[in-house]
Amino acid sequence: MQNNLNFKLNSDPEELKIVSKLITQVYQGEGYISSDSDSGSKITEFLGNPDTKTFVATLDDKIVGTVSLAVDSSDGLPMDVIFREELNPVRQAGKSIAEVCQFVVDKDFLKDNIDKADLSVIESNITLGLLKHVIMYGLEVDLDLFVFTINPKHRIFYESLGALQVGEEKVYPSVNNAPALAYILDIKALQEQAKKGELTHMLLRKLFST
Amino acid sequence: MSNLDKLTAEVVDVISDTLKLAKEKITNDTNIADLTADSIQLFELLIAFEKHYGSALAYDEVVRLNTVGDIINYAAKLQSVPA
Repeated sequence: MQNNLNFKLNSDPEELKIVSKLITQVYQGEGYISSDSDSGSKITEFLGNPDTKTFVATLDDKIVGTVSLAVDSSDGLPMDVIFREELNPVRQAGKSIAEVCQFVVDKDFLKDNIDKADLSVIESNITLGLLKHVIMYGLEVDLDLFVFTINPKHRIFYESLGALQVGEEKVYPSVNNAPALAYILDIKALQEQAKKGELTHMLLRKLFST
Repeated sequence: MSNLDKLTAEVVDVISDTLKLAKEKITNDTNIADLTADSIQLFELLIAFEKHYGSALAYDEVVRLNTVGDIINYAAKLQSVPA
């Protein structure tokens, strides 16, 4: 492999099918959905929504990671299913919000195809690149806040980015009743801090560097 | 216990606490990508090391560390401990 890593905003319906398959495969591996049900197509059905932007990372033209940004609309956000009560005050405050979701990296493919000496750096660059692209897009379309539903096992990561928890832990029915927490990230405030050189974590500095 | 032994124990502690892994599973030769279940965990480890060793860590250098031994050597360099 040449390890030629690229990122793009997906606009191809055929590619979206591959993305959907990747999300289903990773979620099955995590135990979020079962293999003998149609829950895979259920969790990815909003990918085709015009308010949802899907970013992909390709390694030598193979899709190895994806993240989506569902921009709030009259249809609501995927996480409204369990966190509407928590999101509504944010909406009422006049903030423009979008949900960052379906963030997956094809670790199995990377492990099988990348030299061990390059694995950590490639995996990190895919993760960082996807997050960076979604943040850049969010700022470009003048969004105020990103919202996320996360598994509590990843709270350290999101809190380190500066995300704040809203509401209590709930269960997410569409992912096998996995525990879920809602977080809000003020991307505009972080951009301001970046301009002033006030970002404390190296990861944040990297994410908001131009 | 030598300074390097202390540093090794410290690095193993950070990895074990962050990834909730038994210390026995973490040896100098263990590949970091094998210890982490997903890419978020990889970043959680990076965040934990930044908390532990402070802002002297450089992202571009840290993500190039492949094994536990590489991290120990990097931490030794930061703390001027002979590896």
